[in-house]
Amino acid sequence: MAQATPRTLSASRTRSQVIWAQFRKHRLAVWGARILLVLYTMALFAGFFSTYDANYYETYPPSNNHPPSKIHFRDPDTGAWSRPFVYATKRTLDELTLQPRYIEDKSQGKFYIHFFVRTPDQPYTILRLFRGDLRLLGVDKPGRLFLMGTDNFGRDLWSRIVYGSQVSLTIGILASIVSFILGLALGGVAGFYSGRPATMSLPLTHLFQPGVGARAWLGAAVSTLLWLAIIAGIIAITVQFLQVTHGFSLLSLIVVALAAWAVWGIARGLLWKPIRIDPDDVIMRSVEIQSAIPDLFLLITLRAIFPPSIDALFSFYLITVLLGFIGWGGLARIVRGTVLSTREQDYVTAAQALGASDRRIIAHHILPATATYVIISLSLAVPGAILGESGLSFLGLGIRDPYVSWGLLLQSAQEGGFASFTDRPWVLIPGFFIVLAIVAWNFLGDGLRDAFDPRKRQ
Amino acid sequence: MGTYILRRIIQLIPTFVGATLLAFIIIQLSPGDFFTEKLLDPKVRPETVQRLREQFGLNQPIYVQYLLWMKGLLQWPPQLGYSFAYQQDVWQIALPRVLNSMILVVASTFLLYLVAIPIGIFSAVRQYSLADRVVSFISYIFLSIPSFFFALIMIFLILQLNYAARDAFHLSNNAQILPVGGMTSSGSEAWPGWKRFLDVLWHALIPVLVVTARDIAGFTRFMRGQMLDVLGQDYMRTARAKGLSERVSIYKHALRNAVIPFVAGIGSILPGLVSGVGFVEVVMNWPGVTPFYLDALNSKDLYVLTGFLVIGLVLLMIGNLISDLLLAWVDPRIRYY
Repeated sequence: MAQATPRTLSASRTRSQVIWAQFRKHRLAVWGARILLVLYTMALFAGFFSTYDANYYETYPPSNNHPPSKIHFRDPDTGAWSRPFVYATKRTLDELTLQPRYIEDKSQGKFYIHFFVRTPDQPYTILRLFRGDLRLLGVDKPGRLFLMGTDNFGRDLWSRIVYGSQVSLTIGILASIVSFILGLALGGVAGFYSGRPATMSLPLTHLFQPGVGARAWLGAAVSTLLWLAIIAGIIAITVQFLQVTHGFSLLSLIVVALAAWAVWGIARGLLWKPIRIDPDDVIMRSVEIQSAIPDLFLLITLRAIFPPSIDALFSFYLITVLLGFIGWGGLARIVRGTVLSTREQDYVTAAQALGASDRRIIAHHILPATATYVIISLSLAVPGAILGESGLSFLGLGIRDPYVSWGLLLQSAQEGGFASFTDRPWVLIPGFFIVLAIVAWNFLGDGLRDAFDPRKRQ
Repeated sequence: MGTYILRRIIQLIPTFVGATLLAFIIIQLSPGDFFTEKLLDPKVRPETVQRLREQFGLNQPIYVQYLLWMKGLLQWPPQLGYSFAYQQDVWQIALPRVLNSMILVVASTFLLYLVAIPIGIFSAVRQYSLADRVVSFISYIFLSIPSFFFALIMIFLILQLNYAARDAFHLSNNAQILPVGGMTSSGSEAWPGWKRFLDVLWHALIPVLVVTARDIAGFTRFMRGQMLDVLGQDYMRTARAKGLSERVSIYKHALRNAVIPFVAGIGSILPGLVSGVGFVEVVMNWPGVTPFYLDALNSKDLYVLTGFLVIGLVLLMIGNLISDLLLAWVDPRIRYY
C-alpha cells in the first residue's frame, strides 16, 4: 500500500502545481518569460551591458550618425581567423547631402574587442546602490565600438537602448500597478457596497428621537454645514450664469430647474429624509464618463495640463500616473462584476451570518476570488502601458532628455525627415526592442490566462 | 422599440454632460489660454488681448464658460464655438478633417471584415494545425507592433522601393511607386474628379494597410475564439449527426452565430471617425483628426478641442445605440423593451 500512494496521489496535485504544469505546456509563454528575464536583467545591469554611458559622446573627433561598427573576425592580410576587432574610422562629409560618411582607417591598426573592460571616466550605478565601471564589451581608445551606430549627437545607440529599457520596461509595470490600485479599490468598493448606499446626512427630525448621542449631533452639524455650503454654491453659480447670459433661453430655464431640484433634494435630506448615495452609482458613472472620451485624446489633453518643458524626472512620474489613470476604468468594471457575483455566493452569506466583519469578508473571501483575475490582467495591461509610453514619447509628450526611452529614440529617428531613413536605417532598431518586449508580455499574459482558466486546460 | 431608443437617449444625457464638463475642466487646467502668447508679441497691445478675452468670454470663471458654451450647443443649428487660430466656426474646419479620417477608417474597417473573418474561420476549423499556429503567431506579432513604428518601417520600405524603381526603370527623380505621406499629390487640385479620387486612394493605400494590420490581428483572434465556442455547441453536433455536410454546418449554423458580435461592432466605426487612426495620421502626414487635435492642443484653441470631443461623444453614443439595435436585429434571442 505504501508504495502505491504516490502514484494514486499524482492525480491530486495542488492548484499551483497544476497551474505551473499548464503554464509550461504553453511553449510561447515560456519563451515570453525567458525573453522578459533577459530584457529585465539587461535593464537592471544597464551599466554593465552598455558599452558607453547613455549620454556620453566625444566632441572631437565627432561621431554623429555613425553606422554600426563593422566587426572583423578575419585578418584582412592573411585571411586567418582572429579575435574580433574593429578599425578606427575617419569622418568625411558627403558633398551633396552634407551627411557624415565614415570609412575605416586601417593605418591606426586593429582595436580588439575586450571583455570586462573598465571605464573609469564613465562610472555607473546599479539601482543607485552599487557603483561600478566594469562593462561587458569595449575597445581601447581611440578606437570606438558602436554596436548599433550612433544618433545625431554621436551617442552610442546600443547603450542608449540598454539604458532606455530601464524606463520603457519599468514604466509599463508601474503604470499598470497604478491602474490596478485604482481599479481594484474603486471596483471593489463599487461591487461590495452596491445596493447598500451610504447615508450622507442626518436629518433634523431624526436627531430628536430618543437614543441619539452627542457624537451623532456632531456628525449632523458637520454634514449639515457641508450640504449648506453646497446649496450656497449651486445658488451662486446659477445667479452668476443668469447675470452673464442676460436674456431668456431654454438653457437658462433648464439650469434654474436643475438648481431648484438639487436644492430641494438637499433641503429634504436635511429636514426629513437622509441623503443616501450608492458608491456603485458614483464610481460606475465616472467610469462611463471617462470611457466616453477617446483614450488618446484624454491622454494628450491631460499631459497638456503641464507645460512640455517640465522637469524630466517629474515627467516620468507624470506619464506613469497618466497611463495608470487611463487604464483603471475597464479594470474597475470587471473587478466590480467579479466582486458582485462573489458577494452573492453561499459561503459569503454564511460568513456574514456567522458575524464576520466586512473587512474579514473582503480579505478572506472576496480578494482571493479576484486574485487570479488580477494576475492575468496585470500581465496583459503591461504591454498596453509600454505601448502608451512609447507613443507619448514619440509625440514628444513623454520621457525627455537626459532620460532615455525607446519611444524617445524613435522620435529622434523621425526628426531628420524622411530622407534620413535611407541614410541611417539603424535608428529604427529601438522599435524592434519595443516589439520584442510587448510580444513577450503578450505571450506571458496569454499563457497565464490559459494556465489559470480551468476550461482551457489540456 | 421606440420607447427603448428614447430611454437610451435620456440615459445618455448625464454621461454627455459629465464628459463634456470633464473635458472642459481638463483643457482649462493647463496654464494660460490662446491669447497668452499674444501678450509676448510687441505688436499686440495688452488692451487688445483684454478685449479679445472679454469678447470670447475667456475672462469668466470656468463653469460660466462651460454653461455659455452649452447654451450655444443647445441652439439650432448647434454652435460648437469659434476657433481662435483659424478665425472660423469650429464645425466648418472640423468637418473636412473628420471626412479625411473617414476615408481611412471606413476603408480599413471594410478591409478588416473582409480579411479577418475568413482567417478566423479558417484558424478555428483547423485548430492546432500548422496554419493555425502560424496565423496565431503572426497575429501576436502584429498586435505588438506600435502603429507609429509600423508606419515608420513602411515609409522606409517605400523609400527603398522608390529608389530601386527609379534605378531599374530609369525614371525621373520625383517618380514614386507609392507616396511616403500626405493625402494628395501637389497640383492635384486642377485634376478632374476621378483622377483626384484615384490620387487619394493611392495615398491612402499604405495608411489603411498599417491601420488594418493591427486590428486584423485582434479581430482574427476574436473571430477564432467565437468560432471555437460555437463549434463546441450541441446544435453543431446535431447538425453533423443529422447528416449535413461539413460546409453547410459550418457556414449555415456556426458562422451565423459566431459573426453576431462583429455585425453589432459596426456601430463602433462611428466614434472611430473622430478619434481617427491616431499615430498613423501623424507619422504619414495624413491631414486627419489627430494631427489637427495636437495642433489645437499646442495653441490652446479651446473650442476646437471641445468641438472634436463633442462630435466624438455624439458619434460614440449613436454608434453604441446602433450596435445594440443591430444586435437585436441579428440575434432573435435579444429583445429590448
